[in-house]
Amino acid sequence: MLQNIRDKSQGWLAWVIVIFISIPFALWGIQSYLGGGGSVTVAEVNGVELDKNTYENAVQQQVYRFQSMMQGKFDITSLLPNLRQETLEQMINEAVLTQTVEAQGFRIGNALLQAQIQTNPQFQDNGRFSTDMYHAKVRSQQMSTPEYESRMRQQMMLNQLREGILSATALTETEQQTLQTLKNQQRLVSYLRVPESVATATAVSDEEIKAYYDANSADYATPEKVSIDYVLLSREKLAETIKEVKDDDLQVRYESQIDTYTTKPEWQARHILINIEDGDEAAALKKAESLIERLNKEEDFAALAEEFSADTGSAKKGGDLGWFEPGQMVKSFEDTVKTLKSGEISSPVKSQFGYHIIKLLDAKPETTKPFAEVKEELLKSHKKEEADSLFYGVSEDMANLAFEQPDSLASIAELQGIAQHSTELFAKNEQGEGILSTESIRKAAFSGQVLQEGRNSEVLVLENGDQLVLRIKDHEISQIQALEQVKAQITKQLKQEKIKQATETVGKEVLTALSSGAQQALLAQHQLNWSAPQWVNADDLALPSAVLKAAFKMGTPAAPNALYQGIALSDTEYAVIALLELKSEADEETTPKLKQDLEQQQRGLGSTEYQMLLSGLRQNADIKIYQQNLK
Amino acid sequence: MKYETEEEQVEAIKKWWKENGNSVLIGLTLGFGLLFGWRFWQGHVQTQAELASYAYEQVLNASRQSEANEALQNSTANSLKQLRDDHTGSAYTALASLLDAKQKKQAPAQESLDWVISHSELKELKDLARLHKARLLVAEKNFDVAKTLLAQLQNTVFKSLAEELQGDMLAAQGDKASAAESYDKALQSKHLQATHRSWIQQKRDALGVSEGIISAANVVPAATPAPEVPAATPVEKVTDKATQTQPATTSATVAESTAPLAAPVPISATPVKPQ
Repeated sequence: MLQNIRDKSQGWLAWVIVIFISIPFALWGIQSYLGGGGSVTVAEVNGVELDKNTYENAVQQQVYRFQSMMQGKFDITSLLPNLRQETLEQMINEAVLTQTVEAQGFRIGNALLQAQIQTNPQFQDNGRFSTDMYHAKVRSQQMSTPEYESRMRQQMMLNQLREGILSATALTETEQQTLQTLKNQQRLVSYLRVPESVATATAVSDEEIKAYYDANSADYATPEKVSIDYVLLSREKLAETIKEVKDDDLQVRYESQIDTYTTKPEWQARHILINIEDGDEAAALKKAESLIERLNKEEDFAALAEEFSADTGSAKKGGDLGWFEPGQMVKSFEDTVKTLKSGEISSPVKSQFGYHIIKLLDAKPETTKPFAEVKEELLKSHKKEEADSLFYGVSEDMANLAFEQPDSLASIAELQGIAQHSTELFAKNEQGEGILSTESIRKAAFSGQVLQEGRNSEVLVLENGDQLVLRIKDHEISQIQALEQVKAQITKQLKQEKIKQATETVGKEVLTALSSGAQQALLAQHQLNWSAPQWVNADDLALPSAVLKAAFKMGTPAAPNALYQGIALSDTEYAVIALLELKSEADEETTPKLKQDLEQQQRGLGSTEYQMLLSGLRQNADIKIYQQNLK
Repeated sequence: MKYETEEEQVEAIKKWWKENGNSVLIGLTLGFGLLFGWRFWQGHVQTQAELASYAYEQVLNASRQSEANEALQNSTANSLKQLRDDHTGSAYTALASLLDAKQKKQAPAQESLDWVISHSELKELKDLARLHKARLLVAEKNFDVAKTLLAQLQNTVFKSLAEELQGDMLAAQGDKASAAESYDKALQSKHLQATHRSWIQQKRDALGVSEGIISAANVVPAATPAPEVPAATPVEKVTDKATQTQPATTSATVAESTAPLAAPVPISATPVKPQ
């Protein structure tokens, strides 16, 4: 017996088996080669890795959301670092929460998941859940349904935690009363405005100006500035340099892409379907033929279709199938349609559904846009392709030349599709226009290599993918401006300070006078008046906001006394506030508004608790962020 | 070993089987048994988890109904009992208990919270239960117990909420300066949600303790809003010691100022009276 096995193992069967077995071994791990060698980790939460692709996708989504919100009116580059940071934080938070709820045995059963998906209006067609819609919508988010469902489960678990915390907070009755009292509170307020006019001695002497300038001269330094020469390699310019293309080449291109310029033929037809009942083909055929006879006697096709067609969907419309393209109907049907003229009725045609009687209503032949019509388009796409394939070659030459001849841009400027430009003087942190709106360009211009050593920069990449090399043109060092140049500015500033001091002094005198009794004389002397007392709410607009804000922080006056406080009203003016009385009318019954306020306040408290819980859980977790992989 | 013939080999195999056959069979049975047992256990755990999830959803949904009828209350109570019996340490049970406490009044609510404090596996949820309970105790004016409870908080991240409650207690006891200090500490947390933050700020502002917000030099003496002469009491005294203890020096003006408050602020040309 064993001898037999040994003999057979030399034969062809053994080889087949060996080959079958070797297939899985050969393919094992192949995806890591195809996928470009494993994934990069941006962070680790308790040993669970967060993958860079997922991170970049999330950042991209945030960018899209932001851009659609701002309708493209805002340059997002300056916000990108924040956005990236925030996205990473969110991913870490989500990982921490997910791990916590999973460890706590959270789970979403199929019934809950199903209910959630079926009630999502996104997946509903006319108010009812549609499986097709569901699959289509999920596909449009570049996900498979199992992937989507597992993500949903995760989101729902996190929601269970979040909603639980947010719904569990309650304000006690005491707190509700305080809330109501504070919400309804009104205060009787008057204020005394001390205007600029009280300041008399506001002249600023030259000595004062000089002294201030000497003490603060560093504030009057102009920023260091540079201007640059640069050579720009742009795809657009490169495409322009491509010489006129021969018609023959375009013709070849046209023929290879002929499908995109061809519109398929279309037909519009009515049909009557006769089912084959109980396999009795002859009877069905006979019935079909009798109908054709009636049609030949000028009977209305639509009426007969409505009466006899077994295809109930189209029967209601007089057998009309609307417009259709090749491949949409069964083959025998389509073949017959192709032979009919408009208005012609076919003899019975057999398909797997039964016998069809077809009437062709209209037909559109296959059309192809002629070469002349699409020539421009072809030329453009051809040039673009050429430019793309040239781009990297030129880019490489540019990098080499920039390095080999670090003292000049001249030879780079001779390369194909490259133009030389220069800029005006600009400061490092002054966001200019064109290439100067990009921070990395300005940084490069001020780098040691460019500014101190006077060499060419590396190849720098702009946001649209264009590339450039720059070198220094002019350099203007930081200078302290002469006193004469800044005198007006200093005078203005010192004068403003003097006025401010004067108003504050008067205001404080008034406050002191309140207790010494000399208040009236003081008011008369400076022509000051108290405003008429007003009952105001915390969000009233009747008073200057600084006055209102301070008035609501002043506490409760002890009748018959009032409370007073002095504040800076603006950069130059001062004000003395008098709080005379306060009142709070309790609502007799719980109004819907009050209920809403309470609900909002409770959820607010819940939200705070949730944020703290999250932060507490993060403290417990072991989080590593790989900064080097975030770039 | 070398075998001369096929028969010898067959013999050897038979012998080996006789000696080891039983062990192999037992091994196989055990292996498959373990495999299926494990899968069965996994299935069981999943089913249990799904039951807990479902019971929790019941409690969560019930807490959102504004009008609770008896049937709903009963089914909620059943779900809660089921969670406590079968999933004692789970966060599902802790959250359900927190929700349950919200629906109830004082004593039973505190019992529900106590349950979380003694059973929850997650110490952060225990802390939340402590905070919720302390809130109830503050409303009962049971300040000492509340303070003990707040001192037991495990995670420092909740410190801000504890300070808010401290502030509430101190304010209720009339110690406005300390209350303001507590509220200020509470406001330092970066986790406060906007509505909640403004609520703490409102409570703090209502105390009228202004030092630290406006520079000290700006804190001014108060005066009676009499039609004529304003006489002074320092603001700190008014706010700190409330109304009842007015210094005797003001008594003269108090008498005068019982006049109607029609024009409380002296706008009129009434002559200034000497003090």
